[in-house]
Amino acid sequence: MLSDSAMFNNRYQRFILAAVVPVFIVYVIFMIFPIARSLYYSLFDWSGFTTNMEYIGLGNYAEMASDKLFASSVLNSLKYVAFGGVLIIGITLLFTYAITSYKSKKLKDFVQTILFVPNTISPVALALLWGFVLNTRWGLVNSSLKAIGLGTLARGWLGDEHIFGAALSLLVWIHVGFFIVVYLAGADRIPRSLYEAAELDGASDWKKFTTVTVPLLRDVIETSVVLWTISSFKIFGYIYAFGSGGCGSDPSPAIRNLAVHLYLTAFGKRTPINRLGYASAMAMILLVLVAMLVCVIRRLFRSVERIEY
Amino acid sequence: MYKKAMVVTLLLALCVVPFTSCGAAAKPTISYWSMWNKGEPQQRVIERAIADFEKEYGVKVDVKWTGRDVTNAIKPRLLAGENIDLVDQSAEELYGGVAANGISSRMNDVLEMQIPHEGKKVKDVIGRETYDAYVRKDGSLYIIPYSVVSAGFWYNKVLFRELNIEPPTTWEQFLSVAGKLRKAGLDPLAFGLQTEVYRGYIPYHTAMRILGPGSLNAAASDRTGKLFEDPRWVEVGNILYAFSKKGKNIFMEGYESSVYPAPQMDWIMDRAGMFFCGSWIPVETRPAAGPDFEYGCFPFPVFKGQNGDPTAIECSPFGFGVLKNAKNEGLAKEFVAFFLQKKYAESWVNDTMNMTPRKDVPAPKELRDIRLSLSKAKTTFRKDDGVQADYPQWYAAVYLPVLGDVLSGNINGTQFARQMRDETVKFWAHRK
Repeated sequence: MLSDSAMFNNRYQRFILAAVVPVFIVYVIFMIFPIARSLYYSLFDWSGFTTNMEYIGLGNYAEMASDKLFASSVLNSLKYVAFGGVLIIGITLLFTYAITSYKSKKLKDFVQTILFVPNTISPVALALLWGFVLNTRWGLVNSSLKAIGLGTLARGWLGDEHIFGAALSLLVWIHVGFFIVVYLAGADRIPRSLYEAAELDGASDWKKFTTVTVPLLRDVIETSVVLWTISSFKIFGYIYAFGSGGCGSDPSPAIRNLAVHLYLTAFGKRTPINRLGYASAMAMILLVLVAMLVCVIRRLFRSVERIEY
Repeated sequence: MYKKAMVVTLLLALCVVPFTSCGAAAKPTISYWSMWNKGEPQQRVIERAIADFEKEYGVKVDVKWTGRDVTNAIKPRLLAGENIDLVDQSAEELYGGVAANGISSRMNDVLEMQIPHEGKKVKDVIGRETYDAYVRKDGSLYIIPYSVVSAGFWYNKVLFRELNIEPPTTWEQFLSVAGKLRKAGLDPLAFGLQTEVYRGYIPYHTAMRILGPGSLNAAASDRTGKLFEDPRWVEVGNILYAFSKKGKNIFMEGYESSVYPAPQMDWIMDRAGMFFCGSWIPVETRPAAGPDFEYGCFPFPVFKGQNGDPTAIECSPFGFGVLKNAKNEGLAKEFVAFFLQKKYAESWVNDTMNMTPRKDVPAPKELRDIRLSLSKAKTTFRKDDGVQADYPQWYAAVYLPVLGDVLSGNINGTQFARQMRDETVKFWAHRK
């Protein structure tokens, strides 16, 4: 006869199994199976129009080594990770510093809402709006610069030379608004007693922020870095809509990340590349690259001393 | 008695219903996927024709108004085994997306079909120039056009009259016109480098004039790059460089970062004197153009000692393609012939401000100049000389970036020809 504790364990295990199995099945169907299929397709030359697939082994992977557009899309993704990461985390921290120092809760909520609003708008609408703002001839930025006598600073923001910066500014604008909510939630968890102790030691607001808030936001910062790294490779709507020159043009190669380039290779817009097999190989590389980067980031953060409270 | 009658009636009904439903199921249904969206004037003309066709032929047309991404939209359906009979799109996208994958049915037989109620064959009614460039070497044709698109230099006739400018025919005259426009305080040519269709227009038209139709297509597929060693490619590069700000500065200010629709708006507002574009431009700009704006269009200028036909002009139609092994292939082709009736062609012209391939239906007044150039043309060529559809990866990875460099003035004609050769060789080195 089973003891009460053994019965409980048995029942508990069955409950866990009942809870996990459906999720695991969903995960296998919607994650593992598509990944496995993509891996399979990546070994074929296949347009996706018919079931005719030609097995080419690692041919698609070999082709990538000499594909300039693929190389530039990987490089762009890495640039988004690095420059975007520094700007987004930096600006978000500065906003966190400013907003946490407000005494009025209403003001805090108001600023937070204003910053978050872009995240509630469709990426395509925002990307088009940003394109209008940066339009060379009649955009808000150049017009304003001219109006205040700084016309020499006006640039062709959507040209090859500046378009990466223009796209990055759009992504920074959107993501700062998102991460600020996460950072402020993290900052709100920090016990007041720590700030009071710092005040007793005569610490300034900035000192309190750098020695109390930032170290204790370590987990939040790590999560945001990981999220941003993944986004840099797979963010699609903003870049696709912003970088397109209109009239069916593909987004400029100067701003394409791997996800956008992959889509264009698989389906194209006006340019009917239609290489689903090759795009599947790119998807495999995307998966491996993101996994590697996330591992590196996690290791880096692990090497930083964790502060508990 | 009453009960018996009821049972008999029910039994009879049970016997009859399956036959009735068989009859209903037997009514053929054409599956048609269209590039037009619900509500567009083009969609409304086709919808009217569908309604008439259904009534006259006793069939059903199951139409999906899919929008411009129609060739991508049909992919998963075809893979899932769904029957699709008819698709419409631009010739380039039909050839690059559908015909290139071997799933298009030859449309040559449609040319021999009678147009209903007219007693004439399709081939006798539509101009050969509207599809000629799409007949493959083996004689196969995979599209029947219902709308014709060409391209040229657009200008405001009122403005040209005011400035006493005649539309040029030679490169020298063109440069003189550009100078006059500049002197009058206008940018000579509206242009946006970041919009692919704009970026491509001038280069392939220059190449068609200097080397002739098919030259770019052949060079794109030449794995050795030797075709780009022809000195006339340097000449092409020199002309392209001349358009740039470092050459003869013909493009409008800020063109390197300009995107659709800014250039065409600059042109319509008379800030720029000319605009090179497809014949769809009056449709897009009419609402913004004032009532005094008179659309004029002249073909790409000719160069001294050019190889090609000086009358050659682009003709890239929109049309129907029927899918190979479609269940209702014959019926779908009948619909194609049905839609080419004069009444629908007239609606196409009047309601959508586009040209029809029918020879007996005049173009709208905005498109008369370009229609005249088309009628005079001894040869026609495909948009981008077909490289976007036939070699799409080369187009994206080699052609567009090198064009960006020369049109920005970063490289000259000699460097252009060398880069085209080198990049083409590198591109094909690792591909089939």
